[in-house]
Amino acid sequence: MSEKHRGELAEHLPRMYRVALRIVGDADRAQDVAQDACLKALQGMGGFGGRSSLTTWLHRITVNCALDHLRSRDRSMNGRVDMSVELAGVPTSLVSSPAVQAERREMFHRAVELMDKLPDDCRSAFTLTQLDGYSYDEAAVIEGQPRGTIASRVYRAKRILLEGLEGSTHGGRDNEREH
Amino acid sequence: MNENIDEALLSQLVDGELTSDRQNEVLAAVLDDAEACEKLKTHLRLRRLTDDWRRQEPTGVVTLTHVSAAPRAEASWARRLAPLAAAAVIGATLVTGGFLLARHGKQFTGTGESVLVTRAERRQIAEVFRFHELAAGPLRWYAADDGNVLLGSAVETEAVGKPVAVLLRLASAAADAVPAKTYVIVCRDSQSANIELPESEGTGAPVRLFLMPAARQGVIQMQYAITQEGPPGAAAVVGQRRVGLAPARLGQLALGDRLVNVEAAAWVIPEETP
Repeated sequence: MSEKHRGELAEHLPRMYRVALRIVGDADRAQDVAQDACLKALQGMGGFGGRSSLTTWLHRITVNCALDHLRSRDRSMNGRVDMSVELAGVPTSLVSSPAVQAERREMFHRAVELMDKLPDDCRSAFTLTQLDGYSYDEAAVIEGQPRGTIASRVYRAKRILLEGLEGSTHGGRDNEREH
Repeated sequence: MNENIDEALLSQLVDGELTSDRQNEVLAAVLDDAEACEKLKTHLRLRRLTDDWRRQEPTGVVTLTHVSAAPRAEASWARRLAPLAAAAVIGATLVTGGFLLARHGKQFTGTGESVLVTRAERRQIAEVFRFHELAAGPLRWYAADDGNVLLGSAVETEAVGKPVAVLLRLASAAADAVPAKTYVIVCRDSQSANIELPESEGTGAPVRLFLMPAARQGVIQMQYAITQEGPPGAAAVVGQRRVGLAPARLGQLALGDRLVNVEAAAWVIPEETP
């Protein structure tokens, strides 16, 4: 195992972890999935001939490991996880006040709910770029679509989410007024 | 909003997907347009909602190691060595098999007891290792169980680190009659050892071992991966632990139809036998 391979894998590791976390919905399990995926990647690194990009290859391995993990635990395969629970343990920006942090968390929860209602292609592009942290180019390779298509899908997803968030904020304010 | 400012561009701007020149161009246009400014703020807010998620990192150590079959050129069975080495192997096997492995193996069979490695045992292992190096030249690693000895030669141009002895025990997690298996391994400080251990009775396939000890101020931090590939599937235990003379638990491994506790003790072999 060359240092180069190990270094490349280390660079991708945080993203592999996030992909796993998004799918399995639990930090400890995501850690296990990331470990399994690394092991599989290292075992198969010799056979990786650059037919696909390393990013795509590692993403596929991670997703497969995460799905295997879900299957082995007889978990629901609908892909929905309580991401809000996971996020609660993540330190938010130190410059944000507790009130701002709380508001952001609340908005994030709403955004996660709204994401379920996005069209599949938009949700996938949004998830890859906004949650997993892939660039548009990387997401394009993973999705097998032109970069412009990814950019367009991300934008559409954002528009839908922004409208949804705006609606729910106004709805919340209206309710407050009624009380 | 200025017709030249496409909202889709604002989306790409906040995602850092525009080239530097294009980014400046769009920003300059936005600054002159209050409506575009508001839209940009909205996109920034949405982007910031997912900041914390994108900052998430693995919660613990993920070991970036791979256990592969030991290359044939590197791992050589004792029978391939010169007659002197063969004598050394027999001697070493008798020594280790005679008291050390038996002691540790028996006491760990299903009892969960920990046996501290004694000074006499450490001296014995140091002598056996040096004996092998005398016969076979500088070794990158050495591994022995009660019936076999495996040697991994150091590459001639390679500077070898201090020898680190590892006593590795695989003991059934259930209180059954299957005896524990103990391996004496000597590898090098801050150098990895890939070893394919001899097949154990009832395990079905060889166990592959990766060890990378790092000795700092008397403490050994060891990265390890122990795997077995074969039906019904691959089994693996991987991680990083601080290991000393008292056996440390490395994890559990499903070997065949048995669940096996994996424990290890480790220490640096001093220059001179204590």
